[in-house]
Amino acid sequence: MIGLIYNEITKVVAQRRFAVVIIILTLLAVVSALAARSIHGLQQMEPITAAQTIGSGVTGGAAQLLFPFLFAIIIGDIFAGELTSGTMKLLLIRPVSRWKIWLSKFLGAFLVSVAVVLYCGLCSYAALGASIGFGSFSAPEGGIYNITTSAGMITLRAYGLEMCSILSVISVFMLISTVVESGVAAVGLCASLAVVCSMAVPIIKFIVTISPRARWIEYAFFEHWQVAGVVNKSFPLDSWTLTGSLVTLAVWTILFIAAGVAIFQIKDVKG
Amino acid sequence: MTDEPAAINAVNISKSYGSRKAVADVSFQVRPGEVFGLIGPNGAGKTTAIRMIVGLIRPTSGSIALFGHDIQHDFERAISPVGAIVENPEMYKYFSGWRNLKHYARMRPGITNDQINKAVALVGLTDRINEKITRYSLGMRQRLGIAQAILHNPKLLILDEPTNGLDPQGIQELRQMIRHLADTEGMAVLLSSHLLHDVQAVCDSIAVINFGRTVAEGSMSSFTQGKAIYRLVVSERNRAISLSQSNKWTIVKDDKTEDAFTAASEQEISGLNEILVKAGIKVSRIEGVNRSLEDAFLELTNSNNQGGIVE
Repeated sequence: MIGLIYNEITKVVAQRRFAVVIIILTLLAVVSALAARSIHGLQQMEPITAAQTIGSGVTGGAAQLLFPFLFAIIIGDIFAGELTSGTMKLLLIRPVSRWKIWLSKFLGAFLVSVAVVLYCGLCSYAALGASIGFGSFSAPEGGIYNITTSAGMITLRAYGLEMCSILSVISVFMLISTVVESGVAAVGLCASLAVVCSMAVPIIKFIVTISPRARWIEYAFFEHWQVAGVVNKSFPLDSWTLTGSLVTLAVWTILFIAAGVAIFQIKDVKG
Repeated sequence: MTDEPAAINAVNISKSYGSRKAVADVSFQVRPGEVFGLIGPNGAGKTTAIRMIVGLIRPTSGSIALFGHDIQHDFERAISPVGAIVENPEMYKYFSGWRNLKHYARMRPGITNDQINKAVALVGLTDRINEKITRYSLGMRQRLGIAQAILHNPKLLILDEPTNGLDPQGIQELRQMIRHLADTEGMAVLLSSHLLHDVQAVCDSIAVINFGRTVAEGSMSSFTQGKAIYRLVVSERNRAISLSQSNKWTIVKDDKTEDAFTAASEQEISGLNEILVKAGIKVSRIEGVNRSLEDAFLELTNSNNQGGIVE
């Protein structure tokens, strides 16, 4: 199984678009660090360090739109792309059951996505540190959310919860990639889903505010992709407990994985 | 007789897409050490049959066992001794030839770098194996496809159109390699090809598929011997062909440029000559033709095509 996962990781990483995504993330980190420096200079705020802000890097828009969008580009065609290029045939005539191949692709995609988020965090930390100072992880998060827990603990919890969110995002994308036959269409669908979901969150919040009976919509899988926001009180579903949100994410993730494996298990490979 | 199970035992396999039957009740057996040819016109159902044999698609009905293991219910054990190319051997373009082979080697336990090197040497790619696939010609990709199929010394090799893109020397080498693997290693080979000359040169037995059905199956000699074949040069080709067909002669080839046609039958040629002459058709030449697999193939597929003629 480790060999299979290694195969999948190397296939994702060897593609040119992975390098493009890494370059984009690096540039984003540098630009946002320069922007942070300018804001500090203008507002003459209390100095906030890289250690104090790095945890919030995986909350809000990053968790809801940026990361899912980048994952869609990197791994959206992990199944469909192999159908389009014809390599799936040679993959499926090895003495490895289909569910193992599905799972190795899923875990490979998950590990690459985690690595991308961690790289983004490290890059931001380095760029912010160089720009506004590295600071100490033992200092209180303080800053914009005025939280007394240490910045290090906030960062660890935020990234831990973001891993759960990534697992959910990847499970949806894997299902789409399993069902769709064209690699380009699969990437397009995953990226569109990321955009549509990020737009739907504020709309759903508004609907629930004016009609509390519609609260069931909050059980939608993408509503909980910002679960890491719990650590700095930026999670949009403020009436939800962390456990409730994680259980909802887990149920959806299991359903998506089960559907993906079941479809792949019986899929005819014609291309 | 040996108790060893057949390398391939396909029993009444069918595959339908909606109302269209791509393969209908096809049955054949490939024995260990045998080179078996699967031939048929484009769209006859050869590749669909091969996809079912390697488990890429599920038969609508029928069963397939590889060395006694059902491909659907015992997939891993059934596919374990199999190496295959299905249509074009597409590889990962962003990898080198070597990384492609390493990728497939990781999917089977115990394949060493030495084994990979041996397979690479066998297909003649040693000098170019570290280059990216994008720099490979179609023939080189085909060779790499064969290398990935033989990495683990399979007991059954399935080659779907393996000569696509190969130059004449490559085709010759492939033929020799197939015979060598069958004769010295006891490997069973299922070979699907359009190049009937190559099939005739290497196969022990063949099955002819047309319109998704098995039209004929048997040893190579049963195809290349049998009905007599004659080439006739005549004055009114079209009328002569009609008369021949109405007298139960099968038209193997219609040679419009030379006003000639080739026909096969178990009847005496003198009878056909008499009919043509009585109808006022001048027969300037009749010559006996050595029957090749191509003749047998055209005869079988034409007679199954409502008497159609291959031009």
